[in-house]
Amino acid sequence: MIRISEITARVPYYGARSFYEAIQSVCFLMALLYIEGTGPVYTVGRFDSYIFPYYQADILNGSLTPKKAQELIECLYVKLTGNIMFYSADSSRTAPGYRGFETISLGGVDNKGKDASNELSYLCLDAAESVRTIAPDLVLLCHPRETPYALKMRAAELNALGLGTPKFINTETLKTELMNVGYSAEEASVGWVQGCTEPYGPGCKQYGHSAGCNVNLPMALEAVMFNGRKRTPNQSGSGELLGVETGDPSHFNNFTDFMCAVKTQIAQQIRDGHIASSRAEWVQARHFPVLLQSLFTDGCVERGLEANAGGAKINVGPGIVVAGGLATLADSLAAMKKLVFEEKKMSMEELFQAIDANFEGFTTTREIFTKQAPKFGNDIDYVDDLAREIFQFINDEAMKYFTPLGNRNVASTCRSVSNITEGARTWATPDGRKAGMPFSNNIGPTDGLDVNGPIASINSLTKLDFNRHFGAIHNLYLVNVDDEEKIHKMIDLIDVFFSRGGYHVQINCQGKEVFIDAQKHPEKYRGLMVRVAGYVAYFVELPKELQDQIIGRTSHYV
Amino acid sequence: MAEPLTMSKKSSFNLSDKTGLTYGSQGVKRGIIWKVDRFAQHDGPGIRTALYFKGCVLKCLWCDNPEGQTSEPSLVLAKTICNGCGQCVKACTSQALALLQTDDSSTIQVNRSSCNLCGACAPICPTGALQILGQSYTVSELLAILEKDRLIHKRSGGGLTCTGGEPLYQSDFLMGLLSECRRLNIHTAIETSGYVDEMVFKDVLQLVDYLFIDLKHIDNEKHKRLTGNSNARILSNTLLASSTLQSRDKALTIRMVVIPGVNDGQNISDLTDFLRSLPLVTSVELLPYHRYGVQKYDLLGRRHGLPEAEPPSAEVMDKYKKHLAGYGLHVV
Repeated sequence: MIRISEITARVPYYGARSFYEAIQSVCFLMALLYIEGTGPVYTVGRFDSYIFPYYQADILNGSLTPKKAQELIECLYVKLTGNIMFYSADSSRTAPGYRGFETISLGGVDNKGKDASNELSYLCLDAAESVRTIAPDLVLLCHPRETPYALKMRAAELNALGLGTPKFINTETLKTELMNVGYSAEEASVGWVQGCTEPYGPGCKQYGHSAGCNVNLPMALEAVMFNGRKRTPNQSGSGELLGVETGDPSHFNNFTDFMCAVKTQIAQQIRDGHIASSRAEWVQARHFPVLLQSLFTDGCVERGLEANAGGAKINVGPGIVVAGGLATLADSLAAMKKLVFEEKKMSMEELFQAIDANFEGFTTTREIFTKQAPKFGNDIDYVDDLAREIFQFINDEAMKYFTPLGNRNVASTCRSVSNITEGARTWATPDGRKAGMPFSNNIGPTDGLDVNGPIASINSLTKLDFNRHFGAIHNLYLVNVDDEEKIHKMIDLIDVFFSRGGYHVQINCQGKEVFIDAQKHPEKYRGLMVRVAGYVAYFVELPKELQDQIIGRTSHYV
Repeated sequence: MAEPLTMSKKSSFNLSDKTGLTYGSQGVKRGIIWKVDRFAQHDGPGIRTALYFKGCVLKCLWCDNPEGQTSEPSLVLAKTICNGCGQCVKACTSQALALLQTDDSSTIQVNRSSCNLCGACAPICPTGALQILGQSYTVSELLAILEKDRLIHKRSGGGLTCTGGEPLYQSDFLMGLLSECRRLNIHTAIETSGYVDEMVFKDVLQLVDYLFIDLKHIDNEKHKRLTGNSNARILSNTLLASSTLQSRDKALTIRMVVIPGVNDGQNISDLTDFLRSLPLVTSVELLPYHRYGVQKYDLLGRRHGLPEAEPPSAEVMDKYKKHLAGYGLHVV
């Protein structure tokens, strides 16, 4: 008790002298940031790198043992789990599970490109296995050549236990993404991850991707189908104007024109989103100073400007957030290209009628569109190229814009489970998805439609150019990982994903029957953790529709 | 993408387009594959791409891949998915399909003896209940798939596995594929019954890195009864493989599916004796019989040869494995 009072009287103001004090500083700072902050998504950063000097000194002078260090790290995890953010009802539906999204990034490389992992990296992973809390969210920064296999192995073992943590990030792609927003190569190599998947570097201020505007890709199709209007539920035909009037859909007589109309709608969404989030940025700059955060952000003190007003060294615009559904859009476009424009199995009018009726009474049409066209995630160029084209288009459009504070706008795919909330307000799509159903989650294929195994799925995904994006989550569901050989295979999959230019992969290993049983007997599964999107949550605390969606994800037997 | 195969039922499997590259002496240019598994993990080292070849001389009563037995494509009908829309009946070119309507449901009936396997029905089936298994591929089409998987092969120490059916049933095509793989440094494995001409087998042994031989029964009379063929050629080829592979950096794994009451008991002792007489065996795998293949017979409109057979218990499997290991064999 006396020790605690001594330490808490000292840090963070007087600076830490030991490992214990350093941990306490981090703990205080995170709590204070949450008290001050205008939003969640604060990061603990590259914890193992900056705490290591304290650890090493204490181990050398004999005042600390690795076991004691692990215990203190565990205490920090427990305290961080206790920081709960208050969300609006809408936001809580896009990110259920009581999370503050504080990440701890481990491993990675230093500014000379050399492996930066150390004993603490392993201790942080051991601590996570021991306490099994949902915070902080552990990230393993994987460099394709530098990161030691033993560290990846330890990380994969944790995933195999079903903890859903840590997630894996490719530092090479991370570096390029940071350089796109103005970092030098040296600074970009020491970057880490903030929140779900967003790249972050020293002296960076992002106007929270949590505050960025959603782009609802399948909604672009709805807008084309109904001449720029929203399809009104419960009555036939269209309602309010929400996009561009691209004309009566039956007038499209080739796919190029149709694709052009879809892109027009997406461009309009990005433009509108940019205007709205720029307004939010301006309001924050005027009315919500964050002084504590500014003290810890490079550039603010030098410029005499607080972080929300643009004081940071590198500012990134609020951004455009793809709310999942890339695969839903690509599958829909592929089905239309093949069945309507090339094979002419169905006319545009027939398709329109089926869509307008939400496929009610058009069961056969729906089955044809579901079954007879190629799907994203199976390594088929026909559909993957469409996804690639759309993805590139979103990146180019988003990066056209700068905010009033002069910040570069970027697109990312990080909005946790907005494929459910956005899906709920979007009408039926030509891939056979009915109105109100969820989209494909994050950057991944539509659940259950990537049937050629994880390699084909990875190949499809990595055809997308992540270098020009700003973070993109991919969920991989592997089951039956129960021995060492299978853990090696899991690492092989991750390595292949990264060597093909993938950016972020996170893995669920818990058997589906466990989740189904947990739905029936939640009281038995209070501690059951699950990887949701960019974060981990306790399964029984999630809403039913999200639980079902996690169970419905394509799983691959290893 | 490979084209769907269309051919008459009576034609042999090696007839197809005349423009492709020629491999082998008989001018076989296309192979018939009924499944491509891009994430195979149990048929050789590492993560592999497995090709399931069509056609097999043996007709094992318990075969769990009956779709691989015939050399021509197979028509599969999953009645549980079929919605009875009847579109396939209109498309059928040989009046082999009929719509059977009762008061509350309609189902499709297949008359397999009049079906000419033209393949017109499957692409228009809205539910995917009707499928044609067996597509023709050229060697270069298969190499394009292997190219996509090259990274994971190299990373995991995997490669190509040819299984079936019986990959050696299309031996000319197989050798064309294997020699290209050798040129491109792709690790190859084949899983065979060993029932093949000795000269052909010798050639294949030169080209393959890993060989699985699936033995069925050591007793020749019982072998004939269970598979329709003698095992003399299989046993002599196994000996040949063992002697040939002995001098090189290659591997031979002997597999046997254990079916209680069919090939266990005395047969396991016979197997042990046989294996001990071979100069070299890398490993032995005893696989418990499973019933996952039983429902496939319904899809093909056939009947399972051993409907009553049950999987062996874990204790029994353990006993047999220990028995083999007791004689110094490497059991996995």
